Amino acid sequence: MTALRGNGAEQPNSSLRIAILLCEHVEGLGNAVNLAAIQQWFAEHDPAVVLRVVPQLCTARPAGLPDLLAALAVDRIVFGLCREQRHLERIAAQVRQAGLDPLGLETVNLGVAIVGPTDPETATRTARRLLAGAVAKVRSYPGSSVDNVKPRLPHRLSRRGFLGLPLLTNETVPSILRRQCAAERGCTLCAQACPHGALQPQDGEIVLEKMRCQSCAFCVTTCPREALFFPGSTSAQIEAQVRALLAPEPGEVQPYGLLYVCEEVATTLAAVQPGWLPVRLPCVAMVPPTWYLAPLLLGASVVGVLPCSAHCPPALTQTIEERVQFAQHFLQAVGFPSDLIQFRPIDASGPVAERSDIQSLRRYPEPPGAVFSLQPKIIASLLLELARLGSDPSGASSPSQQSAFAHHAAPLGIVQIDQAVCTACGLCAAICPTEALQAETTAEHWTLRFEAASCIACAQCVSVCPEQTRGAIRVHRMISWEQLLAGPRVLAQDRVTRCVRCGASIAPARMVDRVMALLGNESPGLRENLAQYCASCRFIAGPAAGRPEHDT
Amino acid sequence: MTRRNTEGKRPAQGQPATRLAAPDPAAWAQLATLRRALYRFLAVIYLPPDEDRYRQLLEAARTIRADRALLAHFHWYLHWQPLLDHLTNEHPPNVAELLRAYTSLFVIGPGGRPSCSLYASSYLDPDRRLAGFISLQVEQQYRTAGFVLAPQMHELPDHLAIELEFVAALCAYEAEAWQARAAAHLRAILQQERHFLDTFVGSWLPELARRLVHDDMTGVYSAAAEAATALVRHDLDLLAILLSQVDEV
Repeated sequence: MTALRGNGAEQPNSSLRIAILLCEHVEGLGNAVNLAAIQQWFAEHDPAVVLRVVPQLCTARPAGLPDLLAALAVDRIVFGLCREQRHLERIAAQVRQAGLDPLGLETVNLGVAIVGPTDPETATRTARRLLAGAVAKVRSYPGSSVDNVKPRLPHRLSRRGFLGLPLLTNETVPSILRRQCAAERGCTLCAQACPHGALQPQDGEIVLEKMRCQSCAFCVTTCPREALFFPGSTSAQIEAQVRALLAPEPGEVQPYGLLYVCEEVATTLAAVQPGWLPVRLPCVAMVPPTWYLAPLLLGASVVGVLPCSAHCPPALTQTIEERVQFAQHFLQAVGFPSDLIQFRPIDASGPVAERSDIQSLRRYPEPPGAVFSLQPKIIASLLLELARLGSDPSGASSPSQQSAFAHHAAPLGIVQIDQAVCTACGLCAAICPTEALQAETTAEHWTLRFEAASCIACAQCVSVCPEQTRGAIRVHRMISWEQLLAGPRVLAQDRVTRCVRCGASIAPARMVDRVMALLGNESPGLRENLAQYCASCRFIAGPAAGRPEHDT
Repeated sequence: MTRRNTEGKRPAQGQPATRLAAPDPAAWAQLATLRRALYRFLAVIYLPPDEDRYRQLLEAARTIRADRALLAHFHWYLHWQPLLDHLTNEHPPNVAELLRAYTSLFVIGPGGRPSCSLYASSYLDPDRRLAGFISLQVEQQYRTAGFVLAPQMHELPDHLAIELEFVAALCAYEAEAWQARAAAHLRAILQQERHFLDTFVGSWLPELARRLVHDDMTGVYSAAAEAATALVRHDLDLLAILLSQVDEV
């Protein structure tokens, strides 16, 4: 696991050797976790995983960790701890010393996940699921680059430190995958979304000011092209983890709830009822609406979110609430109970209630393709699938072609053009980061096409429209079943005006009309020059343009 | 390779009006000294290999590896490991092999041109002209810092080894400034370090590293470019933080 250039899109590699290192106290959690049973499960299901109990793993310096990792010759590591590891920086150094990337390390705090007098079988099963989830997540880890680290000064310097050197700590920060980024076209979605102003557009690129970055990863899920890479929080990693957490087991009937937990409050998980499987994230505001819905198709009986209350800026808390609300309303609209999604379910009962409606989505086969991807077409197919299942329990028919579902947090949208005002400049298509809008010029016509399944309602098109104040373009956050099913359609079309001298295209007719209207009573010669000649011929025609004797 | 011009102008010298009140400047001086050693190590790699120089290089690599428990606290260490592996394994490439690779990569390649130039001008000059305005700009930076090339060094100022040596020299100045606790002087040096890393070394090293991945058969030069890129990027972040701290004093 040496430094790979992460691009956030690598496929999980099943040949990678993974070590699960367990704290010696894990066995005593609950009413005793059966480590032998966990070891046997991995031997049967995932032979590339080696499991070891390491003395003092939860302390500052586990004995001989670099040597152990070197001896095991593993590519990735998962820590199963009995409590929160407070010395992760020192552990990271030891991991680095063994030639492994500490940003790919996954820690599972089994101490807070398995509490109370849980019976040994439940404790073992929960521990096994959490570890399998972590293994799947690290297996999908594509590797980091030096851009993913922000050094931070130590709080205080000690003269007794290593040779007096100030030992810096490191924070994980996102990096921008230039090949996937649409900043060159003018997209600034991530910069607009960053609550700390750390991302800035600069000369056709997005630049991260690391000093401002608070490592919330909120930007990561705002990019429909997945051009922001945050180690540990890519859609592929989270999906792999969720799939492993919720994987069906023969003979196991207990329903599980999936709970997105903010890193800040991960230790309060002890207050959560058994049956919730936690997915830790740097900040749960990063969870896009579809991540609340997708786990239901993967076998979760209910999905919850546990944000931090004290540290989260109000705007982020509002975002979380709005997205949860969208997911709840959407489920309701397509015929499922809205309480399959729960906000802050910490005081509620566990997700194990014997309710037939809670189980309703578990009957359907698990979708084979990616469901956590941020690409709009995958979002659209997920929503269509849920609508199909909801409208017809047999899953055989399509959603009503008449209906649409509007919500201010909807992940998709539609674009409307007022053809009477649009000047066919094509700027909207040029900036569209998902290519939902595409402009095409043929010999006769200029055409603007729109595909609802690619539109994320980001409104970048509105921001660049020179006629936006006159209402040339509007974006509505809504899921229009009709448009999603219809595919690409023509949104605006106009004939192309041609040069009377050389026949080259000048501009779409309505743009020429708009220019004429703006010129008003300017000289007729200029008006005619602009309306009849292309840019090259205007210079040749010069002042003679427009006169009857002009040689064309 | 280089010597310091004692008569040359040093950044903001003579104006140490503010005394630095950082918690432990000696520790930061040590870090600057460590960074100096690392840049010098990298600089030597990109000089034509000879027996003596190569022996010293291998010894230095073994020393760095021996300190891995300490150095692994820095994230760049992860990116240094392939280089250290090449130089400290049981059978490191011999001098003849390295010299062949050096000549083919950096001096005269199969088509008569080196595949990976070691001059900043080859990457930063729009016309790829050697000894042009990029060389002049780099030389100006050296002059400002009072850094002059030794007479026996017959290379253009924008050669990678010399640029790295210059950064090492700036680190040495920085260590002195930390020791002297002179805030204004220190700030000037940190700014110059950041400017030089950002505008010169750091702006073309990644491209060199990319080219070397394809062309370097020994693995040493590509691993060194990766290591240097990681160190430069880390230092740019570190310098930004240090500057904000110094500004607070």
